[in-house]
Amino acid sequence: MDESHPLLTNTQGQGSLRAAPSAPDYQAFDNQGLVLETDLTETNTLPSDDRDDRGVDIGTVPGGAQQADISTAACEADTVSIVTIGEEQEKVALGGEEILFRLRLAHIYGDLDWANHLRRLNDKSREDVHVQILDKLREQPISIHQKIRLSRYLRDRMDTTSVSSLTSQQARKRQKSRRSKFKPSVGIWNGNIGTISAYFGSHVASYFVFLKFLVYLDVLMALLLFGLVTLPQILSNNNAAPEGLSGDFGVVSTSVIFFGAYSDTKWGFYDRPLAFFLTWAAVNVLCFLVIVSSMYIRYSLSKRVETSEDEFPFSTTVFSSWDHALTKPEGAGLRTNVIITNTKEMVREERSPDKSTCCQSTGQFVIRAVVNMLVVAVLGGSGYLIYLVADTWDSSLDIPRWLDDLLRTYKLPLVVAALKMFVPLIFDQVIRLEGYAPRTELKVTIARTALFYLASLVVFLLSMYEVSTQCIRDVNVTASTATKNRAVCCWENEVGEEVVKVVLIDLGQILLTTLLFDFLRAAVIKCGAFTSLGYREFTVASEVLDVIYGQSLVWLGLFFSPLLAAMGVVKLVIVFYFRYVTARMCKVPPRTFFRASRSGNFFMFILLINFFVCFFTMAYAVIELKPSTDCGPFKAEDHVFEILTSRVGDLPTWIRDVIVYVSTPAIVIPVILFLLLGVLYFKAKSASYTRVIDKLREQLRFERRVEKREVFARARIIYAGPQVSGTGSSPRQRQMTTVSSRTSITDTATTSSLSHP
Amino acid sequence: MGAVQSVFTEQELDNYQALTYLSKRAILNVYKRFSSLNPTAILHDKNARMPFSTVTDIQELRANPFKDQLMKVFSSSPDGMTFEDFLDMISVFSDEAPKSVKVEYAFRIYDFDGDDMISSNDLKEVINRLTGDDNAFTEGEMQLLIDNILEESDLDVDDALSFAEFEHVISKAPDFSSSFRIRL
Repeated sequence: MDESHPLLTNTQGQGSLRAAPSAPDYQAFDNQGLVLETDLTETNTLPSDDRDDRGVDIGTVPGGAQQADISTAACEADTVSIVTIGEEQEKVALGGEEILFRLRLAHIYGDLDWANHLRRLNDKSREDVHVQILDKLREQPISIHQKIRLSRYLRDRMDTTSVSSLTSQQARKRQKSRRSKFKPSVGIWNGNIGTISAYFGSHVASYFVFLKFLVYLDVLMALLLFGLVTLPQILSNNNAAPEGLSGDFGVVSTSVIFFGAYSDTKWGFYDRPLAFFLTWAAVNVLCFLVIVSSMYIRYSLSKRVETSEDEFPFSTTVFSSWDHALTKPEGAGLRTNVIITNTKEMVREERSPDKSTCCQSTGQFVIRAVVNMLVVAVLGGSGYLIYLVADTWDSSLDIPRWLDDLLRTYKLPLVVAALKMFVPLIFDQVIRLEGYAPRTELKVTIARTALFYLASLVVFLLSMYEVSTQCIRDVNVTASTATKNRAVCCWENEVGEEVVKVVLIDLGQILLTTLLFDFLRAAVIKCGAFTSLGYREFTVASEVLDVIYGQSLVWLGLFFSPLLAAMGVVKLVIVFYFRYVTARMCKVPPRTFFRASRSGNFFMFILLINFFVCFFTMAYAVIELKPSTDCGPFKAEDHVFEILTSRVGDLPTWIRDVIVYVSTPAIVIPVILFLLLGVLYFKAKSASYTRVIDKLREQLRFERRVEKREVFARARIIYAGPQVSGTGSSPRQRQMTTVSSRTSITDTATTSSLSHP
Repeated sequence: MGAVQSVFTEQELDNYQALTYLSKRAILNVYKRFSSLNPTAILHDKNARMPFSTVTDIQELRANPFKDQLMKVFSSSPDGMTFEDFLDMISVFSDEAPKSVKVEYAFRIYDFDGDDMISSNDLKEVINRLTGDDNAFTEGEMQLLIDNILEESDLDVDDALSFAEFEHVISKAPDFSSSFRIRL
């Protein structure tokens, strides 16, 4: 539909449709100076081309015919506008920026006579202004209707080359942004996660997103290990497990699931032991890179988020706590409750800062000290218990033989799982005695639980070390003092078996706990009894720590059981669906929540710490411990890493010399010192930046408060003559305040610079 | 998709795509959702107006406490919402919309009396909506909350939040972008 100048049919008359709300006798403050603008009796009506019920909405005259005989000075910028108003309109043309700025305000002040302004642009800048406006048009907060009109108007007046170049440029930008966002809608479980976020909000959904990430990671590890290590072993069809090998899983103990079945010879050209070692190392490095890069991306996206949180807690809560993605009424109702509780707590904290008496505060201090000691005791006690159980087993109890065997085999994993089930509960209950603020409560509990998991992992590792050395001792010692009758010693197999047992029992424990604590409770409530009990909350943090613990087990056992990653995948999938069903049926959203954006990085950070603990332990095992001589791909070596040297051939002397030299203290200590210096330097830099930010913020406040008032005072004086003075909330001042509310803070700065010529 | 696609010309779709933050497929999806509200009317005239009550009945908006404000802000006339207005709304609430656009519209949504400032009355209304309107807060608590908000964000101490102040506070809020999102 091509009209020639459709918008410029001049009809006289007052077609103003949406007058400004408070009909002022002047229109607007230009943001560049103390100027007034009125527009006159020119209205532009549109032919009803595409049926708009708004009628004359484009190009109306705001406010009618006011003619003030005031002229004010323009200011320095060349995009200044509006000078004299009188009967003729001698306006200097508005620049593109100016027009865009007015478009933003169009919804308040009636619509912009942009056709007029655009027409008045002088020819040389017209093309540029058109391009500028068209480029930014999408971001303007005006209705699509108007945007389409405006874009059509502009395109009709621009020559086709610039139009086409602009559109292609925009299309390219769009594609780039889409590619960079990379929200994989092809991923698994997207529907489920969407449902969860509809019912519970984005914070709970972040747990499931984290699970998904771990599944992807595990699948990657499993594929690599399977393809490069297990498959050659299976295809070569010779099981290298020594004959006397027996494990707790029977036949499976000697299968490719465990370390012992991997042979130490080449298969054709494919060097299997070397592949084993290198693939394992590569998988670890890959995990590290993936986690770190994910953290980096997330961090750079969140862009120093802490400032707003701590500075404006009330405002951010009120304005951004409603999650528009929540679509179910039940979820919405629950979210409302959470918001209410949160805001109430903040208000109450505000109101009663610290009204506790001296006795109360010391009492609380004592309680907290006691609780902390209790926590340390629990941690130490559980650690010792694990170690004890791993070492000895009292078989003098009167229980049937099969149970005794079962317990003996599974004693370690059972103890670990039992501790894992109860200790977090203890922590949860105990924190209530301490009387912290809810946010702090959450943080402290998370810290304690994370520490507990880490400690139990470490102790488990230590007991594994015991197991490994014991195996070697057993074989070397006479049969009477050996703990187990062994012909062959394959300690890696034993360690691998222990890890697999712990993983399985862990899965069983998760299922059992959920069934007991969540399903049962929900069933009880639904049947009507004990309705006051309430559903359990979905405590995201402890669930996530649980999952991280499982993942650490996988990393630990990966060397001893290459298929453990695949088992990890299966376990995570089961856990996902289980938790999903439980969340939908038996749980309510948590009372307090971490900010969803921050918690993603926090989980990654804990994952990274766990990864380091596991990796360094394994690195120590690989470097220091002697592989068993009877089984596995490394039985010919004294140390596992020697597989590299023996296979790749001796490295040239100079490389070896360099490596030896680099690992001496003469190099290592200066490097450490240098890194420390680097850390200190960046810390100092960031501290200085924080100071600069504070100063800027002060300046901002000053500008808004003091400078603005000064500007208004001057404006009032100029406008109304010297008889008006003093500050008062006259209607004019209100209007001025209203009118200028949209000026950005930087513009106020230029205004203030104007008042100091 | 073929039947739906024939409703719009290529030019119109291109326009919509250039001026919103949605892909062509998303735009057609939006059209499908919108026309499912009243298929006969839309088929007859694709710019027909739907009354607000019909539009807020879709499941994404049903539970939203600000749905009437959404209607008011995005509609071109008080009689109802056209498809283009609805498209506008979905575009602003989409994932690709930049924060500046969302902040702009958030300000308008929270400005209940439409005077381009968020006064204490507006704040009171926001809090009431958020807490479900059944007097979760006492008068004193409400006042305290409002005072705190104004103290934090009202830089020029005029008892109301202008857009600049609102933007200053909200654009750094970590959850704002993720919470200001509706997916059809």
